[in-house]
Amino acid sequence: MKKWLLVGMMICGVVLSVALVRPALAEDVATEGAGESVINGRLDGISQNCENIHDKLVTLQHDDSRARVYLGRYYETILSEFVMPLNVWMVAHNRSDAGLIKNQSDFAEMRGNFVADYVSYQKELESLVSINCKNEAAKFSDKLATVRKARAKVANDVAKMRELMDVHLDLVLQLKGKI
Amino acid sequence: MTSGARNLVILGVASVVIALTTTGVSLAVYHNSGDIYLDRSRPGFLPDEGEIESEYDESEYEFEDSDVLTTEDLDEYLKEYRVEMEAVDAYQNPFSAEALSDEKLGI
Repeated sequence: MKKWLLVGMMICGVVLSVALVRPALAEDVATEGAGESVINGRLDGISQNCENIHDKLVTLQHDDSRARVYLGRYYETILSEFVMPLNVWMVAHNRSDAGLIKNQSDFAEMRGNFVADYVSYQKELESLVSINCKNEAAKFSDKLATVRKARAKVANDVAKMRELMDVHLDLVLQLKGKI
Repeated sequence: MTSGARNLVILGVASVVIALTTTGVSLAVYHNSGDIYLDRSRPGFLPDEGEIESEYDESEYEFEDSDVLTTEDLDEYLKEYRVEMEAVDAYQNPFSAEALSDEKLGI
């Protein structure tokens, strides 16, 4: 009797676990399938619009080059015509300010980072443009992710440069308050 | 062919080889150093017409050779400095992520 009870419980257990696990498995497969179809759809989109994407990337290269020159020129002017001359005057008149000097050094360093990160980004972008997206959509998609990361670094540098400009403004206002 | 003519040919070929080698090395350095990406004088990256004249509105401030720094001096300095800040802000969303988004690229 006990034996039959044990066997019955085992059968119930098996039936229950199959009933619980099956829907979960089916769900996983469905999600996996949907994910795969999204990826495939994206790769198809890359292959089909390859020419347009290529043209947009080339235009972006030109726009970025223009932005780099524009911003780089102003960063240079701010450093050489405003930040440095003020520190030079302060040092020459024995009134050097540690905050202003540190900010000048941070500004120069960040400007160097901006140029270096821009060059890395452009190298990645150029290599993305050279990929045949019609035939190598997966490779193009992977490279696009890398280019996006490199571009984000440049955008971050631009934001930091802007912060340093604000810091300089605050420091000069503080200096004015002390006069 | 006389030995003089042969030497002349060797000299010509050697000159061409040396010129090609040095040019190749220069181009490799130009490319690998990243200078190529900072150079807007390369074909296809030249500034647009009128861009140089109209786009940049640079200002500057010169400190007078005096021992005194007045609040008026700093006001003038800040006025010119803010012109530069506004010019930087005028460039809308440089290097924004949106430009490389799937939607923007039409993927």
